[in-house]
Amino acid sequence: MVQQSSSHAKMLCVLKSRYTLLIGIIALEFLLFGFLAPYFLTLGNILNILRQISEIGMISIPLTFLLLSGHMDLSVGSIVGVCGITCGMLLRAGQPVVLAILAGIAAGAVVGFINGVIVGKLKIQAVVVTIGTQVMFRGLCYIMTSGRAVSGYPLSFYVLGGGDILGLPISVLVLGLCYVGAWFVLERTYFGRYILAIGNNQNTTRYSGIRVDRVKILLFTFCGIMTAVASIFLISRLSSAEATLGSGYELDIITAALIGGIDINGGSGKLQGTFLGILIIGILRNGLNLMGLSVIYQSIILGVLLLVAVAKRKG
Amino acid sequence: MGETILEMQHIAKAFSGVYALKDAQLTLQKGRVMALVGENGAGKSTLMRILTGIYDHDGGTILYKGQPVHFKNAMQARDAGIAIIHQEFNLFPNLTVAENIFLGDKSVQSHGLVDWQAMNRRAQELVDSIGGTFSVEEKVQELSVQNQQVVEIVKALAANAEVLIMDEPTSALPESEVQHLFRTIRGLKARGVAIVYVSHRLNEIFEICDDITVLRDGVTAFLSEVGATTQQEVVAQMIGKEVTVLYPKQDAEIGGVVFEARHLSDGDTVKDLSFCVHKGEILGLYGLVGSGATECPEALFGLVRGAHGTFLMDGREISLHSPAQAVANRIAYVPPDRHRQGIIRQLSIRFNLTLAVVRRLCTRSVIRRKDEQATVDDYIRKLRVKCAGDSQKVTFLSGGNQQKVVIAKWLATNPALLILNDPTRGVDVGAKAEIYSLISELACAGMAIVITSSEISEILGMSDRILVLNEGVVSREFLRGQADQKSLLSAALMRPDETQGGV
Amino acid sequence: MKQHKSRLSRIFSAREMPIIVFTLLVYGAFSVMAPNFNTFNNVSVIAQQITINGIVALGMTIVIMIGGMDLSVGSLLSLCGVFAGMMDNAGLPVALTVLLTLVIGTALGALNGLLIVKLHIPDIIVTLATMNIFRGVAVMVTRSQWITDFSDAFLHIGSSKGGLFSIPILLYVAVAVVFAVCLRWLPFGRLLYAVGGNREAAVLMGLNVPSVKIRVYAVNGFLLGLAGLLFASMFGSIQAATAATSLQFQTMGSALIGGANIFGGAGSVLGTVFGTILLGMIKNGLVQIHASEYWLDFITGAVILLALLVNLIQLRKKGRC
Repeated sequence: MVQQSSSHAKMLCVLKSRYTLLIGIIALEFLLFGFLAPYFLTLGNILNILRQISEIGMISIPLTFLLLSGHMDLSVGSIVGVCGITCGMLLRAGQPVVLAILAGIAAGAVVGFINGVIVGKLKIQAVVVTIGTQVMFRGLCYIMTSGRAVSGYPLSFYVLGGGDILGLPISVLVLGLCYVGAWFVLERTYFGRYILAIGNNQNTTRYSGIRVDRVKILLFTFCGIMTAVASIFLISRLSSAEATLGSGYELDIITAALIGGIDINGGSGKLQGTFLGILIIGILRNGLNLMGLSVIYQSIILGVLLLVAVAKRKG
Repeated sequence: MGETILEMQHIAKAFSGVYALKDAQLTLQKGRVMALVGENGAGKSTLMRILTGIYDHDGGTILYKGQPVHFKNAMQARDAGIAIIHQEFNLFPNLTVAENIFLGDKSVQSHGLVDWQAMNRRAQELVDSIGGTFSVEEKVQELSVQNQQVVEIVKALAANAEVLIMDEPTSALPESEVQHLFRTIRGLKARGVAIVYVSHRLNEIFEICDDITVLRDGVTAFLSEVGATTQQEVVAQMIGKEVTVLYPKQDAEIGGVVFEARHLSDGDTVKDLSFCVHKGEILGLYGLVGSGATECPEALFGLVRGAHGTFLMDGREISLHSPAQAVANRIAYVPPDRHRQGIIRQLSIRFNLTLAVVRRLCTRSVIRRKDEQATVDDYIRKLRVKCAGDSQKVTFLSGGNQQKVVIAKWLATNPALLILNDPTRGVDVGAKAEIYSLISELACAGMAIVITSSEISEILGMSDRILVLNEGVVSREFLRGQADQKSLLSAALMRPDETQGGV
Repeated sequence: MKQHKSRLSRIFSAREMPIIVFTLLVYGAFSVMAPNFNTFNNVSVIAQQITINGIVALGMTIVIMIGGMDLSVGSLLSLCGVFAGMMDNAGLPVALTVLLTLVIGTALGALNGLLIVKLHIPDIIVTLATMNIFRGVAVMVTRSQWITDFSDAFLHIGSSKGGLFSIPILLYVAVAVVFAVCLRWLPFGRLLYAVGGNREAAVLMGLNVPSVKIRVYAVNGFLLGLAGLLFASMFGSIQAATAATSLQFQTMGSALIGGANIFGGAGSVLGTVFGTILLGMIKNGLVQIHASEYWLDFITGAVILLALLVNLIQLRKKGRC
C-alpha cells in the first residue's frame, strides 16, 4: 500500500518532470531565437510558426495513436503527397472545391486502408510495410504530376491555408479542435481503451474478445484521412503541390512524438506530449530558418534529438 | 550394472521462498536409460535445468565422473558432455542438417574455411549410424518432426555427449515413429551413453527404460529397476498419500444442457472430443501434459486456427472461430498464462476489469463513466479484490488478486459458460480458497463452468463431473465422489483402449 | 546419378530461381520493345549504372540477414563520397584518400551497430536518425557546395577500364565473389545465417550476438565507403544534399527481391545481384521505351511489397520450425 502510493507519486514526478522539461526546452528556444533573430519574437512570426506546425500537428494525432498501439506509419509523408496532388489536380481542372477536398480525403482513406489491411490481416510488421508503401505512394506522386508542380487553384481555396478567424489562422483552429477531439477519443471512448490495450499487450486484448485486426485497420485508415486533411491545408498554404510534397514529414512527427514521451514500443505516453514535441520542432525549424540555416542542418539536430529521446526512455 | 557416470544428491532449489526441489536425487549409469516421472509440478524440469546449468541449485551436490561439478551455464554443461533435447527443438531451420550438427566446430574447418565435404561426410556418417534416412545437405526446415529430433540426437553425439536428457521425446512424434526412436535409443545405449527419459507415458517407459526415478513434491520418492516394479506401483508412488484439502464445493442444482461440443478437434493435440456442460455444473477436464486438457479450452474459445467441431449454446448452433465470436456467444475464458493472456499489468484495475465489457458501457462510443465506476466497484467488492483503489496498476497486486481481476473481467460480461484454464496457477493458498468458493457460488447461481487444472486434488475437489483426457480423446468419465487421485491418474496415464475394462 | 539428379533439382528449386527467371523475362520483354536495349553497348551501360547500388545492396543483404535494417545507407554514402572528394581536393595521394574513406565508412557503419546494441534502440530508429545526421554533416562540411575538380588519378578509379570492363564493374564483381565465398565458406558467414535463423538458439550456443551485429554494420559501412568513392569518381562531382537519396529503398528492394527475408536468416549474393540487375534494367528499359522515368519509384515500391508478400507466403508454407 505504502509502496504503491510512493511509486505512484514517483510516476507522477517523472511525468511532471518530462513535461516541465519539454516546456523548459520551448522557453529556451524562445530565449535563444529571440536573442539571435530579432524578427522571431513578433506576433506575425508566432502565428507563422503555428501555421507551419498545423499540418504536421494534424498528422501527429493518428501517428500518436499508432505509436500508442505499438505500430508505426512511415508512409505519411508520401500520403500527404498523393492526397495533396489529387486535390490539387481536381482544383486545377476546375472541379468544385468541396469535391476536390472530398476526393483528397477519400484518397487518404484508401491508401491508409491499404496499409491497414496489409498490417492487420497479413500480419507483416508495420514498419516494413510502410517503408514499401512510402516508396510506392511517392512514386505515384511523380506519376501523377510528371514531375511538374500542380498550381492555379480558385481563390476561395486559399482561405483554408491563409485565412483566419478572430486573428487565428483557420488551420491552427482546426488543429486545436482535432487535438481536443483526439484527446476525448483517447480518454473517454472505448476505442481509446482498445488502442492502449493493444499497445500494452496485444495478446491479452485478443483474449478479451476484441478484434485486434479491425482496430489496426481502422487506425491506419484514420491515419490516411487525417494526413489527407493536413495535405489540403498544406497545398492551400503553399498554393501548389509538387511531387515531393510532404516528404520527410514522418521523421519530424515520429521524433516529436518520441521526444514527447510516447514509448517507441507502444502502450504509454500522452497526446499532450506529442503536441509539445511538435511545438519544439516547429519552433526549432522556424528559428533556424530565420537564422539562415538550411533545412539539412536542422535534420542533424532532429536526428540527435530522436536518438536522445529514445535512448533516455530505455535508461 | 554399468558404471556410474553421474550422481545428483540432495538437490534443493527454491523460487522466491517456495521449494520446487527439496531432496532430489538421480543416479545415472553408462549405457542405461533412466526414466524420470512425476506429476505435473513434481520438479522434473527444475531438476533437469539444474543438471544442464540453466538453473543454479541451492543445496546438494552433483558428482560427474566422480568429480563434484557446478555448471554455471548451459554451455559449460554441454562442453562437459551433458546434452538435453527440449520438447521445442533448438535448431536453425534455415541451415542444413550438417551445419546444425557442426556449426562453429573447428574440426570441420580447414585454413579457417568451412570444409563442406568433410562436414557433410562426417554428418552423414553420424546420421546413418543411428539409422537416419535423410540427406544431411537438406535444410532442417524441410525435415519432418521426427527427423528433426534425430538431428538433435546427432548434435548431441557430435558434441560427444555422455549424458543425454530427452524431455517428452515422443510427444511430438506420430505413433508409427516411436519404435524408430526406441531403436535409436538402443543404439545410444550400446555406445555407452547414459540417458534420462522424461515422460508421462508409462507404457513407453516400461518398454525402453532400465531404471525409474519417481519425483514427488520435489523429493525423490521411489527408485527401482523397471523390471522390479509395476505400472500400478509407479502410479501409487507418484501420488503418495492422499492430500486432503478442504474444497468449499457446495452442491448446486444441476439443470439442463447449456453448452455442447461435438467432435471438437484442433488439428493437433485435441483429436475428437464431445461433451456437454449443464446449468450449475462444474465440469473438470483432467489430463497430463499433451493430453489436450489445456488445449481443449483454447480451441473452444476460438484461439486455435484450424480448430473445428459443432457447438451448441442453449440448443442453438454457434460458430467459434475467434475470441470475439466466443464472447459474443456468452463464453468467457480465464487463461492459464495470466501475464501474457489475462491481464495488462501496466494498466489500472479499472482498465483491465472493464476491457471486455467497456463497449457495452458506452453511449455513442463514449464511456458512461458512472456505469463503469459502478461495475468496477461492484466486482471489486463482490470478489474482495484487495487493492489501494481502482486506479492502481494491476502489476502491484498479488497473484491471487490479479486472478480475481481476470475473473471479474469475465463475470462483467455476464457469461453463460465460464471456462477456467488452470485458474489457480501461481496463486497463494489463501487466495486459492477464495477463488474456489467464488467458483462454487457461481455454479450455485446457475453458471455452467468448465475447469482444468494441473493439480489433481483441485479437479477432484471442485468438479461435479470429471472427464479424463488422454491423447486428445476422453479416456474416462467420473461423477463426483467416484474418483480418487489414484483412479484419476491411472486413467490419465493409460491408453484409452486399456482403461475400457476399468482400473 | 541420384546425387546428380538431386543437385540439379536443388538448382531449380533454389530460392533465387524465380528472380532469375523473372529477370530474364523482363530482359526479353525490353529487348522486343526497344531495339537499342539488347546491345553490348547498352548492357555495359546498365552494368556500369548498377555497380554502386549493387555494392550497397550486398551490405544491405547481410544487415537484413541478421534481422536488421539500415535506412542510413544513402546518407553514409554521400558523407563518404564528399569526404573522399574533399581529401582529393586537398591534394592527398589517391591511395591515402581511398584508405581513409574506407576507414571512415567502416567506423560510421560500426557506429550504427554500436548505437543499436548499446542503447537498445531498434535498428530502424537508429538508422532513421543517423540517416539525417550523416546527411546533415555531409552538407555541413561541404557548405552545400558541389565537390568537383578531382585529380586525374581519382577520376581514373571510376572511368578507366581494366581489360573489357571498367574498374567499378570489376570491383562490384570482386565484392560479390568475396561475399559469396565468405557467406558460404567462412565460419563467420555461416554465423550470420544462424543468428538470423534462430536468435535464441544462437544465444544458447554461446554466440555473442551483439558483437556479430556491430561487425555486420561495420562491413556494411566499409562497402558504403567504397560506394561513396566510386560515386564521386564516376560522376566527377558530388553534392551532399542530393547524392543517393533513395538508395536505402532501392537496395532494400534488391535484397528482398533476391530472397532476403525481412525477419532475418535468409538471403544470398546471387539473389541480391539479380535483384539489383532487375531494378537497374527496369530503370534503363523505361528510358529506352520512352516511358516516364517517374514510374521507377512506384515500381520499386510495388516490387518491395511484392517481395514481402512472397516472403510471407514462403514462411507460411514452411510453417513453424
